[in-house]
Amino acid sequence: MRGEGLCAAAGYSEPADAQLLSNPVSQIRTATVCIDVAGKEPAMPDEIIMPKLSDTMVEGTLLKWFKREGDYVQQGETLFEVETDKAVLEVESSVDGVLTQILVQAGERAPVGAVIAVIGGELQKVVPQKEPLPEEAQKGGQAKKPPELIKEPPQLKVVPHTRGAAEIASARDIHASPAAKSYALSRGIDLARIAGTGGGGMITLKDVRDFQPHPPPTGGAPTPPRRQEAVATPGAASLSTMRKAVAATVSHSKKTIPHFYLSYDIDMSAALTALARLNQSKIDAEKISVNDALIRAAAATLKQYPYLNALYPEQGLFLKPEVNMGIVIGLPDGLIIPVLRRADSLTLEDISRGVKQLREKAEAGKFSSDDLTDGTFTISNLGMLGVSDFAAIIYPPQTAILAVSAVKDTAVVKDGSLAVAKMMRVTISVDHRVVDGITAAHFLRDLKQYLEAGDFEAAEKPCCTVEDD
Amino acid sequence: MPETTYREALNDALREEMQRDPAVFILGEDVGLFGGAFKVTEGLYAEFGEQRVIDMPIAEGLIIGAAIGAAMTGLRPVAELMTVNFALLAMDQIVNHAAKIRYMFGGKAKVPLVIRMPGGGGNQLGAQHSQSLEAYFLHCPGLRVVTPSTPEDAKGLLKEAIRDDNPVIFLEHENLYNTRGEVPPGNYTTPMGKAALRRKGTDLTILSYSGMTLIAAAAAEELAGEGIQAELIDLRTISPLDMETVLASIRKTGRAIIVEEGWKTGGVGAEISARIHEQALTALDAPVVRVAGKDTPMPYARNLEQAAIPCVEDVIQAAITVL
Repeated sequence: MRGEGLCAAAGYSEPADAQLLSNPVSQIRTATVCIDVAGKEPAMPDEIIMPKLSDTMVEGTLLKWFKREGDYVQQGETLFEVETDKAVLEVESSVDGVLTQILVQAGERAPVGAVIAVIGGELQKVVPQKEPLPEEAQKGGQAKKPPELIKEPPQLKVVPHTRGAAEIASARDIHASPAAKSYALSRGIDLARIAGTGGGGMITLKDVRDFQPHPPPTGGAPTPPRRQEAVATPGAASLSTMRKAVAATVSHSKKTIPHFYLSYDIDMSAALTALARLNQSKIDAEKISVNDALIRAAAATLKQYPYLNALYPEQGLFLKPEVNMGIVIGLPDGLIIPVLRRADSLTLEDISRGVKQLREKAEAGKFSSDDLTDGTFTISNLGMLGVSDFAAIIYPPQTAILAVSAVKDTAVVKDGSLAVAKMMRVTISVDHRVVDGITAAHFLRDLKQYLEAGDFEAAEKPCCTVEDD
Repeated sequence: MPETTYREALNDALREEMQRDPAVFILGEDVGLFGGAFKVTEGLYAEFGEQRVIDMPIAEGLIIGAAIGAAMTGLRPVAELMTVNFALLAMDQIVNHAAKIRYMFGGKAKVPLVIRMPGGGGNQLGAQHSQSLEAYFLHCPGLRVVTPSTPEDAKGLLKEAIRDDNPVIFLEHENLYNTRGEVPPGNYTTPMGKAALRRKGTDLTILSYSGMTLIAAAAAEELAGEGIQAELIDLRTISPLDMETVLASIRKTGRAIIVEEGWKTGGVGAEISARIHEQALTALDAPVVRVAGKDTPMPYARNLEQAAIPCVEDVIQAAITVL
């Protein structure tokens, strides 16, 4: 064996001290080789673990092994293929050695960090060589060359496999401080869009706080995209930056906020009549929508329910004096929640104009930071698509979100006889840490009364029902 | 408040405790007639006599061994080793006996022992006499390691150490003996394991102890002149370590540097840095940086010695690195 030859060349019997003095470097190197190959102390086996290939990955499915037990694996060779929660990736080894054990077979799942295979270790453990894989056969004997010294600790390199994999890999390369990452995650901010000013270009907490999204990938309650997505090919797919931001926000929300949900059916007949009257003299572009009326009603009603118009970040609870109404707008690949500021002090016309402007900005992708920040409550309306009932996910750090379904002709019992009414279901999702069911129920009841009165002209005076606290 | 030197504060602490408790006695090399190599025990021999201020042979193992025996049998010895460098001769007594006896006797024996030791470099005393070895003691369970930087803390912590039922390594920096500071009148003690906030700030946290606290304070002052508000925490005792105060500050600033005179590798800063990363990773906005003594035996030549010990400029540079 090669090792024995080296041992002999180094003069194993010669006093080590004398050689150390004359040429310490070569002596140390030679001695290492002797120990390694002489079999007294075989190279430590390297445990191959299920790598963490995305921030959210907790386990992976092993799709395929490119090597079999007993195969010699060279540094840089693709070792296995794994499916994460986001993509399919090939993983290569930077370790040379014999794949002595496969612990997780193709098709099996394993948590991140679990040992899935062993490279190296006792040679006698090696199983007899099986039929070589086709790639090996082409390489000839190269794949079976004897083990060399392991010079580096084992590391796994990810080889981008799909477009998604490339995106994920680049996301993993983002150089940000833990504080910046933590802050960004909690607010659904995409670090890839931020330039770092810290040491070595690291993104600092200040960089994230100062970041002005243009256009911002903010997250919130997920609604289906307004348009059909581009033709999607089955199989491994990628998440867009905005999609990832939404994913981070809704995951954070559902993980940390104990949601509960209350629904109310509201008779919109009077409200629709009132709107029709208001809209009579208006051109189409200025017509007031049901959604505008809802914003008006919700903003006015919220003044009586400060805990539903509040923020509950980690630092503690903040009751907001004004209602900044977030309005979920679906985009082809995600959603955005622009904010109608001081909605509680706007007239119905102002609200209608403001919402139209926000929609135009959403179409153009041009928002100022004011349009996207400081929301205190959010409305998600899928009524225009005929959805009859749904609940939304709270947009942290807000404490509630209102899901609005379609207005539908519905048979109802009125004064003991059947009648047809324009019914609309609204569902509020509430952070139970801050608000209890009875408060949320009162809010919905008041909202219902406001809308069923349909008296928007009387309501034109802002905050007619309640004085500021 | 009256001002005294660090040396006088220690002397007062010893006198007050010896007056208060007849079980307290001093032993060490030249602590009696000569008043101590650094004159910390001056006057005590005359006041308390040779039964309570005992001059010992030059045999550190013997000094600590005798002190451990005395402590186990009811006395409260305060042993002085001429410098911390000589503690290496007594390491077996300190690590294998003083630190372990209370545990190995299941709590039935205790070792209320204080070992006072000056240390630190900067005075051209050579590699063997200029060391800061606190990390050695920090590493050993069962020892408390006290590192005061002010006269007030020197007095309060020494009195507390004498009253404590555990072996306490009490480290005094040689360069601090002549520093002056206000000391509250009367009988007070300073609790161990409670850091002191020396300066409030929002931009970064500087952690230090013993002599390096002065360097860190000077650096914080200069940084303030540049508009950088550093929060300075004087750890006062490195075992127990007041992580609560340390982490509260870092949660505010997101950045920390640790200033110590001892070697960087395996040092006090390494331990604190590790704990910060374990306990407050998501608060960090920059890697924790250690400012420490160079990993080399202390050079004798003045210029090289100064280069091996952290200075104000080193602390400022580190602050810039994390900001």
